[in-house]
Amino acid sequence: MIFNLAKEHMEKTDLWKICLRMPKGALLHCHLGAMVDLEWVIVVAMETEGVCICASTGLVSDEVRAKADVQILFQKNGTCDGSLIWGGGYERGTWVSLKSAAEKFPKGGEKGFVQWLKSRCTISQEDNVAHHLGVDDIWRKLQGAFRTIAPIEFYEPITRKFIRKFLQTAMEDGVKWVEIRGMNRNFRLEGEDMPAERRMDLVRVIDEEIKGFVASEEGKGFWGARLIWDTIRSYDKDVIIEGSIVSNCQGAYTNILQI
Amino acid sequence: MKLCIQSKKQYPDLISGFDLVGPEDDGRTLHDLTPELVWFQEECVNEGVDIPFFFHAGECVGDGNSTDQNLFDAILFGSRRIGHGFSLYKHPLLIDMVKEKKILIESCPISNEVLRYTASIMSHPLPALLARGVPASLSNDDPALMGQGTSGMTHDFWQALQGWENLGLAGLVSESYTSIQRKLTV
Repeated sequence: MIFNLAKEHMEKTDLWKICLRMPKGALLHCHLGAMVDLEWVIVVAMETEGVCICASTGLVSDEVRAKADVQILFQKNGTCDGSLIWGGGYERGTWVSLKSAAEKFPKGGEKGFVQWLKSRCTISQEDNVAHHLGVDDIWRKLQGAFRTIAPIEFYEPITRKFIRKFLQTAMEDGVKWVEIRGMNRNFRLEGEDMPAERRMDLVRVIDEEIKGFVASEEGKGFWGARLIWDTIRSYDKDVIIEGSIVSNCQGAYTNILQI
Repeated sequence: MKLCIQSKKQYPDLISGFDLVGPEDDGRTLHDLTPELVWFQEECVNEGVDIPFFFHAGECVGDGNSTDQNLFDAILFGSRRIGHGFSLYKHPLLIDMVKEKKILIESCPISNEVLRYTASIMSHPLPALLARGVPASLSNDDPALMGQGTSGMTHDFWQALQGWENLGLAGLVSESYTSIQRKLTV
């Protein structure tokens, strides 16, 4: 509760400068999808060819934008004109270009868009001080945030940059080694706009990016990273053992959360 | 689990272990998951791979409820480390077992605060565990969604240093050394 109130203050203290330069050793507990600054993720998504946005209704006002279902994914046949999504004539579920939608965001264009989308994916100041609402309530908010952000991060071209950014930032912070949980079922290869079981590809991509980083000039001195394979504890036996749940029902499981 | 074993065979140096994630209070308990976990252990033996458990356990405020009891099962299943172990401080016997088995607690104090397990770093239970000699290291869990906003651990380190006077700088350095030792030995 106090952390978010104190955050800005702590970043201005002398103790902050000391902590920043401290060697941090190994980061042993983290979830891949929640590791990189969201503004960076959203900007990269806007720059990625074919990434689109759709919503459950036209996002005409602040109230609607705060509550409506929003999904962002790579789509082959998205509409170029992103302004549609902010109007009353928008047809539910129509994919429009993310880049164009951001440019036409009614409250401040791209900058305003990034702030709006980020606010949908983080725990708000208001949530932070509402401790009386309890653990289950805040978990629902965290899962909602993840539902929006994970499909963006787990699209191959974005995932590759994302892993590099993660390792780079951790290293700058004094971390030498990371162990990552995050075998996300949303993962899709470049150019793929249908859900498929792609976790073996995700492992390959993570392996390639870790090795690439360690071998690069900027990754000099970084020891490396490993994966802790994770699956969601609420699944039933078949899904946990067999693993595969993506089949004919597009969308049914694409939003499964992995925190 | 099958894909996990397959990936361990293909990338033996990359895959370090297996865990179950998601809200612990809402999800299945380790007790309930026993058939799957035993199947996994047997399958690992059959396939000739070693994939230890790194379970989340005791990420809860419950006392004696089924989530709290995940701590017993995590230890019985030989979990190499325990994610959070937030409710461990209430269990003297388990504390002794964690020390004896050299199980590392992966503590994420800011995450615990944001997810409402503790109101502030000052009332976080980790210092009580450290005072009993439980091995622990600090982590940041979900920093982009929780408000730290960076992949780094400086916020968590700052709060620990500011909030826990018995830890101090030396204690914090010792924790980061512990994390490295675990990385090397596990």
